[in-house]
Amino acid sequence: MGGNKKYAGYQSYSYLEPGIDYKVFKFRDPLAWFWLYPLSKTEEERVEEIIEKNILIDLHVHPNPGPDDISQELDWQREGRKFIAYDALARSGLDGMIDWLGPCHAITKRGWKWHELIDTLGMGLCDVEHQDFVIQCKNVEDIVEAHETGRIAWIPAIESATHIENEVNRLEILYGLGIRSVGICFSESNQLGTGLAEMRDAGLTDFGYDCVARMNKVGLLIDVSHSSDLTAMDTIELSKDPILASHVGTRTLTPTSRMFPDDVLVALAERGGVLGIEAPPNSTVTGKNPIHGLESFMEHVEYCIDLMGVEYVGVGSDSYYFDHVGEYLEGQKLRKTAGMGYAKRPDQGIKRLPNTNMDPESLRRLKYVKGLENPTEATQNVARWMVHHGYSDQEIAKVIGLNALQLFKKVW
Amino acid sequence: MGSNKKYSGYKAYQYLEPGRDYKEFKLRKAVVPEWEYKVPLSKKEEERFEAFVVENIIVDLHEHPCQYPEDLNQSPDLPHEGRQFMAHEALSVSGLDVVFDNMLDGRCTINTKHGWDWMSTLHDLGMRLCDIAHQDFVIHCKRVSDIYDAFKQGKLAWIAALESATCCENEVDRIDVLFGLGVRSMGICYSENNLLGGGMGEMNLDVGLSDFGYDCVVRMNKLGMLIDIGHTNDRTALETIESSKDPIYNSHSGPGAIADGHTNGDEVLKALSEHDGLVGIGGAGYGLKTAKHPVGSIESYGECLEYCINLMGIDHVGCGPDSLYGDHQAHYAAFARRSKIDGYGHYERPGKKRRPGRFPKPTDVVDPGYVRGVENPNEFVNIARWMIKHGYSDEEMAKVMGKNALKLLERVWP
Repeated sequence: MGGNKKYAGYQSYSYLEPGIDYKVFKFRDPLAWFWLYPLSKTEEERVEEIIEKNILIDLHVHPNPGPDDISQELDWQREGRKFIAYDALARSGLDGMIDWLGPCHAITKRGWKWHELIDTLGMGLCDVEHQDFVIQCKNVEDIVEAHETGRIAWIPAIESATHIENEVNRLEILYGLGIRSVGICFSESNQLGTGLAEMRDAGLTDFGYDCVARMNKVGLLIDVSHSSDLTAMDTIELSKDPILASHVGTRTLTPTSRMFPDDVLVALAERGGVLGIEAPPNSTVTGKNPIHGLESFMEHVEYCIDLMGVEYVGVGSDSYYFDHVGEYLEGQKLRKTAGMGYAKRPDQGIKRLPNTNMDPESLRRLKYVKGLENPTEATQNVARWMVHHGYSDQEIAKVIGLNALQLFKKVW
Repeated sequence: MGSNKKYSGYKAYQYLEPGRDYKEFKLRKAVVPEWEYKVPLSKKEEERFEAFVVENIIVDLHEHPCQYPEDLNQSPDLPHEGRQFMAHEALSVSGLDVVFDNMLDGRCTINTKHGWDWMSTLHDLGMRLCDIAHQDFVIHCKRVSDIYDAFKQGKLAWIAALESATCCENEVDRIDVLFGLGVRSMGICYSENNLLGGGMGEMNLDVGLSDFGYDCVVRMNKLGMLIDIGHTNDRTALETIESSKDPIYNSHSGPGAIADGHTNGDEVLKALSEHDGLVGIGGAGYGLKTAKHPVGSIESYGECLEYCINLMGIDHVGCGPDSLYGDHQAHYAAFARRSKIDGYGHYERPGKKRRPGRFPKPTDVVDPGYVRGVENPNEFVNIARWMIKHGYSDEEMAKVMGKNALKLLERVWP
């Protein structure tokens, strides 16, 4: 990030009156678990220069604080206002970040509805419009400008196209309203394709293909992070533009359905796509590093650089400014108590790969992913680790942002 | 408009395949030569006019700068497609630097028969923004600095405006969402009442700003959303002016004291100016009709402009002709015809009298079927020609054609 940070102390929605205009929730300190990878003095100077000179982009963040009392999470979602942790972001060194809207269940139980999405997007944009440090990013020039003027380019995206139901035109409306990247589907299937958690993999649907074609025409960056293997492969093959896997990793090191197998990663790179390595709790643990942290994460990064080439790997931390483990545990509770209609599907003889380890005890022991837990530290720590492990300036620059920038240039 | 226009030939939705990706409509040419009328100027006046347009920021407070179908019977069908076709090419030679685009407004019937619903409004806005995002001449204007940039770079600053807040139903937060999505001007209500206040087309014109309407005005002030009283009745207009901490405007109106059409009474106009607000002289499809000029035209427009300048002061008047690139009157007629067969559910209400026109057209006066001289957004600058002809100074013209609007935006927008 260029120096001269332009953050002047703005807090979300400060043009409104708390309580009167919006319901107040006591937030957890966004940087309660902030940690930087330790470096020697010369390494410290080197990484500072690298961060200063280069464009840093995290391909997958959720830059929002959350309630201290995690049991308030549903109520907080229903308020329909995501706050942005501006002060924490000002310490991140980031120049660009893709902020992925998901279920946005402000209104409905399972979320992913069109009207909830637009409300959430519009509300976030309204907040951003009233300050000058985070800028809405609509094209590559905005990221470059952010870097040069000490600001951050905020790229709104959606993790899955579920909100569009079966209407192709809605992709254009989303582009018009500011969305610049769209996931094909989430871990559950939708009308575009099979999700990674499903029992049976049927790949991209015909409607999904219509959407891929339209996204290419409109200039939307397609993401397959939560798609099944076949859906991802179909999308890679059928998209005229290179695509993104904003937050995944390699199944070779972590044998779960949440990761991609080598053939998908190779195909992604062959078509010019980029893979962001992720770090939600327990996602990128490895045999060598069973406690999730920077070491297991960097194993994924190194493996993928080796497999795909250093031009095709980036950081997609999927980090939060609130308690990610807490949110998972609360989510598990809600599935049994909030009347969301989840039923236990009997075994139909199809072997499913296990998903990320969500065992509550394992999550509680982990508590948080040290060094990759929040957007402020994640990309910085990747740079710091790579400095310490002898990577060149060019290699580091690519992984921490240049690869992402090149992909955006090709698609937007 | 700054010279050095940056238009490079883009046509609406050209990143898509007509027919396959969207239903095609045969659109009428944006500007029809037979309908063009320029206020005649001497050679010297012509030079003065050219210089004026180049040197000043020209702000059009109210238009629908899109092409309409050649076959006006299709007018109600085009909104169902959900795409308005902006007349990029025509706008590039219009002389405008800023245009307030009120989009599909009362015809935002993308998803419903009567329009003004939340989904249709978002669809309209999103689709227009997607079109604009694929070219470089029109820029989505959200801040005053965008206007100065547009002027310097030879571009057009496009402001998304809604004529009514009906789509918000009873939810104040929706105003925030619209602001975030890029709307920068919003009307209280359309010609029909809504949850905020009373419309000018109702039988009962006594309905003022509702309590919810008051909540909305407060929220709009906090957000920095410009408030428009374009279609309200006079009581709602007055109460809105009183309730708003920021100055407000009427984007498209006229002086009811001397004109028939879309107008406000003197009391409203004076209250507007007393609260540092602005009136944009309007007219729409039939224009403003006066005793002197019973058929709407640039002449009746100028007469109304002059009246308001005298009543309110030169600092409180602007221009918002409310025109479009098509046969406006036939467009109205098409909707009127279809309302009897498309099941809109409108009835003649007993006791609701049609307000008679005060200025019947003499038999020897020709009604061309359009507002001659202010018929489409490219004729906006004709108002400057009229003002030159009627002895206004450059400074006065600069205010009316743009500076007054800029001052208002500087005060209201964040």
